[in-house]
Amino acid sequence: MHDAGDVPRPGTAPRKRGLALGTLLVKYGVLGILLLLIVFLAIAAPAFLTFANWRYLLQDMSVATLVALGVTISVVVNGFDVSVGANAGLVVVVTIMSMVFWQLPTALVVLLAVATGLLVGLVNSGLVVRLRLPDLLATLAMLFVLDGGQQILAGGQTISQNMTLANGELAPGKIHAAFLAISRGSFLDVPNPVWIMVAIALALWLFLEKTRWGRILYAVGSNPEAARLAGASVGWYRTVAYLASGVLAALGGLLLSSRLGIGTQLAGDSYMLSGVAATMIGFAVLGVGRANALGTVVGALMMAVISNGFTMLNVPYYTQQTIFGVLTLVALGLSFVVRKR
Amino acid sequence: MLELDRIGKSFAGVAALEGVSCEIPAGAISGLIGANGAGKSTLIKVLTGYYSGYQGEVRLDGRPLPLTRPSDAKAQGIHVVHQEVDTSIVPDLSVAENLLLDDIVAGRVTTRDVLRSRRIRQQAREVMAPVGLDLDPGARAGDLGLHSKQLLVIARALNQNLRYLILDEPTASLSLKEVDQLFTVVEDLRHQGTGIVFVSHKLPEVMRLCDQALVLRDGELAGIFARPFEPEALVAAILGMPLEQEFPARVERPRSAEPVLLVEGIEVGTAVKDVSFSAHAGEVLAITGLVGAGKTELLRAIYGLERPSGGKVAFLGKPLRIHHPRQAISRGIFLVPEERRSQGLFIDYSGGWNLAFPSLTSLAPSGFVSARRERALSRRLAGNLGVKGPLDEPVAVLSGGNQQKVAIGKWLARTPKALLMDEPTRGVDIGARLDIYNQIRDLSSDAAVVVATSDIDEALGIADRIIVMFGGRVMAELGHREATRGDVMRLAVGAA
Repeated sequence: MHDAGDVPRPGTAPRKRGLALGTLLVKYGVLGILLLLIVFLAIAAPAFLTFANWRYLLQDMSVATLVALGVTISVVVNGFDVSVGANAGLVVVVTIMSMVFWQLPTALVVLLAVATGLLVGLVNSGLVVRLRLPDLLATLAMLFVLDGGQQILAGGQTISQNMTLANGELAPGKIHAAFLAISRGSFLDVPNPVWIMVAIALALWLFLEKTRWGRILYAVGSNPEAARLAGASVGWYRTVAYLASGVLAALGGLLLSSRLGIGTQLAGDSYMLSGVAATMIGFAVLGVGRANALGTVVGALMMAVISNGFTMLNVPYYTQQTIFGVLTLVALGLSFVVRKR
Repeated sequence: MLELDRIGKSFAGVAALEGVSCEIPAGAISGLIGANGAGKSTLIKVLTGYYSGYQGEVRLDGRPLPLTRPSDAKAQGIHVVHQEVDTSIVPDLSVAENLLLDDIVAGRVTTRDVLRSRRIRQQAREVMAPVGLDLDPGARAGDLGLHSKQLLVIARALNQNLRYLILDEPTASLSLKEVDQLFTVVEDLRHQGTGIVFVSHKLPEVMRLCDQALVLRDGELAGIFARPFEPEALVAAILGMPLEQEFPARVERPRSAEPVLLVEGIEVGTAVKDVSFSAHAGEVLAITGLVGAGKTELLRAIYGLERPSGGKVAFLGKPLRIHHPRQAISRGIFLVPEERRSQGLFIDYSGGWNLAFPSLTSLAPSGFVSARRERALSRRLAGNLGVKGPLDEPVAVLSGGNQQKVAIGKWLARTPKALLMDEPTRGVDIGARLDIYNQIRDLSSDAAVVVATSDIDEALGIADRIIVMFGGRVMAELGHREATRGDVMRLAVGAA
């Protein structure tokens, strides 16, 4: 059968094999910058590349990573969940209150944290999937509801063990040692949050990249109409993504709460922007060009390395922010500008 | 006269266009034809200043042109109506604002004029008149039909200095009446001295309209033809060899006694009215009619995408009541939709990924997709359909014909019982078309294949039975022996 018509288009066919510089930059630009950063810090600050420091660094990034993975899965289905930080903050207040005021046992506190995340995810999915509100607007509004909600819930004050109540008495409950151990304990000399982060990130990576359900989530994000015509229940998968986002953020909140040990207001807010940033940097990792779990972890790691390393060098936090911003632009610039060529 | 002198363009060392020299006279219509991937789009992009660099020289009336930016082309009066005309229109602005967009951007129409709506409306009407458009200048441009959008873009070009107009597959989704209207406008323009480049896959249209035909093949000029055209010569130039056959040979096959699909009195809103037919394994059933005759809505209703407002569908003797494609798919009823890029494919993902998508359940019984089995499956499917091009690169880089083969091929791993195909060869070149026809014929031995097509010759060429629709109704059902082109054409325009 002749088929003269099907000559591959320019740029697609006989592509030069080997390590063309452009391909190299697209694939390894972000990882290369991260590596350079680590090498630089190792030389500039001798304490940086030590086991003790990395123990601390990885523990520090665990909350941000979980929250960022929440953003990631919402972006996979071409949605956007910016309520993750407020969600984590609500979980901090709820978990501490549930011990200090309601005297719940640790197991129930953990369940309550997950249930809170599920509920937030359910409301988000109802707004975005059922009512078809624009995702950014709906979850942004949710952010304010949750931020306000946690302050209403706590009466605008920080909740802590032995705090004085309005009637002059002391709060009845204690923060359980078991609860604090979630974040403060360690296994094989590695802090628990690091194990939890690695396990969840690995599970999510496997789920998104290797299973058919992950495949369908990406399909729904890429072209919902084509996914529906191929038999996928688009609304259901998008709902699942928002539920997962809510739960991941809540788990981040749980780790944060157990690390803080007190119910600070709005403790989760800063994790939203870092989560979005980690997800977006993740697009460029290995040149995948879409939200992915591994990339998000790399993005979160980059932020943690900068904040940890430059703090050692006594660089003030605002300068760190600038460095992070510039490096992000360079990393993304390398990947995306080169790709466009 | 626009002269192209040894035009070439390469991407990553691969020549997409090489040594193309020809003349595009003013006051004449030049057809630009060729298979998908032959270089037509690249040539159009060179002429419209899309690339900042290319080889060779373009001369206008003997004067070399700089064509390194889109504004260069416009300044010389070279305009284009893209196949995806939406890219040239600002959907949220009014018809008038779109028509006068260049004037507004250049400051010739001031903000005050725009606010004084009566004046701008009057201006817009004047701009529309030469192309026979009579739209409400205040209407939202995004709500217009494709045909009106095309004419709007032409009118806008006319309002500037239009000397050369490139029409990129303008008729792909137009009704016959709209095609006639468009051709009238184009012939008027030729009469006024505009040079026109008409890009099309439809040879009958090229032969009807054009003064010369430029054939591209593999990035090179394969021939320049003048009137009177010989279709065989054009086809041979497009393919690089003569086409022995346009459609597969007919083989008589046994037809299943029981219909696979039995549709009785189905109604879908106002689009489909009281349509009944049966489709059997062992035959190809074509549903033909003009664009808007209700073919797409009919297929979508059977597939669970639209809720029928009346009537019933039976599948293998059992009533079929579904509200989601997944229920159709689980029964072995598959749809190859009309718009492959927006409905049939995940354009950012690879050919292999797309081919495997409907088979994920069998590829991943435990949930985990086996990369080895996935690769084997997509290779097998691509091989069966003759997909040419890389399977591990985004499917967007494949030619239209190969994309369509992927959109069809992804269903073949699942042994269809009924395959619904909506315009399966739209935008597909002749060579790839024959591959698809052969596949349709092979599939129809064991499955009911229903092909909705507005191309009457295609219906006559591949179908064992033809249903002609007009205005949502079935005008007639004809066997392939008794159907003639004239009859089908007459029925399709509503003449009984």
